[in-house]
Amino acid sequence: MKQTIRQLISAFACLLVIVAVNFFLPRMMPGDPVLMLTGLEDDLVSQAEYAMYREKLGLDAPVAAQLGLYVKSLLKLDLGHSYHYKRSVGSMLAERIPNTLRVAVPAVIISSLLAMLLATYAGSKNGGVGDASITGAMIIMNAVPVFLLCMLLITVFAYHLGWLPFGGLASANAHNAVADRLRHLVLPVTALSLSALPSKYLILRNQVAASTEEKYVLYARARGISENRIRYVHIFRNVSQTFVTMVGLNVGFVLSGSLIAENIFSIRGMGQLMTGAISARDFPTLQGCLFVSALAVIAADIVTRLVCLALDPKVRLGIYEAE
Amino acid sequence: MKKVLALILAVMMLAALLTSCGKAAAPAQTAPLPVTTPAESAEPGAAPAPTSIETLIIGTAADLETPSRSVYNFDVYSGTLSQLAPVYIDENANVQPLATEFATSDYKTWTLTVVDGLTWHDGVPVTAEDIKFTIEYNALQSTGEPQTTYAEINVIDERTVELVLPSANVRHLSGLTTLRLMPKHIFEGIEDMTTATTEQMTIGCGPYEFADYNADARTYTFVANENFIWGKPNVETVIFRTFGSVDTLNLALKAGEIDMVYAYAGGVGAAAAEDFKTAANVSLFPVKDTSNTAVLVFNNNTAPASDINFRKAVAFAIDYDKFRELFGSEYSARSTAGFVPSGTFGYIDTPELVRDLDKAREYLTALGVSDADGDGIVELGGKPLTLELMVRSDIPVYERYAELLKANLAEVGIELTLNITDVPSFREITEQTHTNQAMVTKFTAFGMAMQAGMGTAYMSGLGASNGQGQIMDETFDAIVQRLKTAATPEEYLKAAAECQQYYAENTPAIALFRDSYIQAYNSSLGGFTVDGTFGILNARTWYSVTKK
Repeated sequence: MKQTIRQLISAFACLLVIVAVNFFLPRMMPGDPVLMLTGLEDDLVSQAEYAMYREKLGLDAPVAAQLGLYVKSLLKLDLGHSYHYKRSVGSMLAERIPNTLRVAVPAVIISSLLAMLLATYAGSKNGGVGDASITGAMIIMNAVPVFLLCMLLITVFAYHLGWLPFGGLASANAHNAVADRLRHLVLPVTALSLSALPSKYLILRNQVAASTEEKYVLYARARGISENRIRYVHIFRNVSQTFVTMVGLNVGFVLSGSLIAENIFSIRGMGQLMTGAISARDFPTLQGCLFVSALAVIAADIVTRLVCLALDPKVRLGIYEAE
Repeated sequence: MKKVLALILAVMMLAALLTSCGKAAAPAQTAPLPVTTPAESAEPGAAPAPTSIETLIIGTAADLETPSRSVYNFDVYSGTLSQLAPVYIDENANVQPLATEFATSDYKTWTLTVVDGLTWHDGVPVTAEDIKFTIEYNALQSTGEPQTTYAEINVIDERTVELVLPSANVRHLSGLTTLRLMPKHIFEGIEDMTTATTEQMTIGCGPYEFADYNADARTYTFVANENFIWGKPNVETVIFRTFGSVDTLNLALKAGEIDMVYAYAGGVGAAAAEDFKTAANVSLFPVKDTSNTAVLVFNNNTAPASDINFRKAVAFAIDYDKFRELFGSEYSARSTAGFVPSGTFGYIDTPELVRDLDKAREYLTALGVSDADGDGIVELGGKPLTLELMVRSDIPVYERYAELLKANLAEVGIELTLNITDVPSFREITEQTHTNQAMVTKFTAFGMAMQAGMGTAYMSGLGASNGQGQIMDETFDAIVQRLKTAATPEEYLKAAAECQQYYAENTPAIALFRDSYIQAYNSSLGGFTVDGTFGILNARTWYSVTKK
């Protein structure tokens, strides 16, 4: 319980730091904060317009009051207004986050499951042909950039074979909406899953390989337990903390990794919004995206720690500390 | 193992759940189009359509956002389907009537008459008041100030409006090719255009009606307007679909997933055109060059390019044949002195540009350079002679142009450094600060024709904010004034010839090569009509396009 509270406090502190960075960054950067936050051009904005925006953004008030207003608006889930898109940042994120999740969540799950299955198998066959083949393939895949992987998948499955669509999340006039949407998800989810897989696999495989030498594995074999059960129940349970931590960290990776995939597969998600905001120097949108990403990473971290506590009695009961 | 399989099954179910939790793909709303016989009208709907095409899909790499007149890409694309401008420019650079007939006796007062029977998609007739309103509303929305282009705008009758310029301008109508008419009865109460609803923002008077924006499919769908004055177009439904990259867009055309690729003022690149030649199902259409694909623009007001000897030295150092070989399509041609494309109204022939390193060195000597330290880079005033070249980061081929330029200029001792900038910085520099020394860019057909025409809007440092060439020279300014105030086409053509001659003699910009504006489409289609600004994608094309 104590640990959980400690972790929640540290997560809250992280959140405060992120809020502070988000607030101070446009105000500390060279240039006028009014122009920075509105994207207006110095020569084209009239004095009256400038004053109006300055007041609207609350930049007339002392910094402490501005920070107070900023926090207050965040608590009301008001992430500001994009003068580039001429819309509220919150409404744009609300439209796009579900699209990102539709690609990212299956990718995290599939890559994690594959990593778990392959790493446990390969690690337990340490040095064997299966291990060498899978590990070799993973090392090669780890070196392939996401954009190249996306293009390869499109070239093979959409262009040459014509099995799957080139992009988007749906067809313009789909008759079977669910089947059509699933077809559109296959390539982006595959690309993201394959790009997230090697790092998880390689770490997990080494852990499993080391665990096969442990005494509990020897005892399990001596008890006549099947190899599969030893691998996927006994060994995996012992390396699951590392696995869970990697999956948690993967949330941040997938949110940023989908930035490339969303652009190539023409998916109107958060990654694409961030790309547009960067190229248009749309600070309010960028701030909103970074805030939401940071929240997701912090939330994933909290969940990861809690799951680790639940999984490992040594951590939960503080046995290490007692020793 | 059973548990693992159960887990995989659960994941698959979760994926299915996630895909279905979004909005289902909405079918294109069919507009309420009453059944009528094709209207008796002049071109192009007079002849009955030979075949009817159910759906035509146009792929683009441009981002398709919320449909609205205030969104650039929607405005451009709907301008070829659901919105109409008063006039268009044909492939021979002549202005032709579209939504209005036009007349003038002195090139100062232009009379526009709305073509008979033209209505908005809600059935309300398009009137002279709409034209006046469009001009005034656009000015207020973009600058917050009343319009200043015209001295007077007089509504003569229901269909006729008189636009009185402060002085004669023979080319005035070319500026109206992108003035998409707005319905006064819809917008007159809307102070801020961005607050209008999608229905208000998409209503037009063209041969198609906007039907649907599908954010998941990234498509705009337009359906045929049977009530249009030219009758029902040959294509029932036109869909614009966005692709994440130009590469996937081109693959989709080859795979037959789309019928045409379109990039306003860009066309397909030479490498893609070469690749399309190997595809049996793709045809290419080269539109006469009214734009410049690749131009080296000097800042003529900043050293070292403010000295004509430097600009001439650069012009003689460039390997134009290599540029064509590496970047040009089979329709490309060697560049000529004075960068004006041959399809431009007022174009005159000028000598071809050739590489001559000896002459380049002569001009450098005249500039007063020497290579005192013998490192191969010449010095001017004790400092290495360098040219900083600015290129936009979003168009990678510009960096390749820059690499070849760097190698070319190094051969005569000029060091070229590259400044890659993002689009907002590029705009800030080219429209406000003008702190660059040179840039590689493209000139669009519309941009070449803007204001006084002949690319003067790009080159003058005294006029428009987008004066990339920053020419601040009395002689040039006088030519621009003559172009602007020409009272007859003859006067304009004379001034245009002077303008191009000025460019040829003073080298304020260099077209690295000339190329056609290549458009690619599925070979099963044919019969496109060509427009000088938009190529094969325009309102009239929908009445001539056929499926073989």
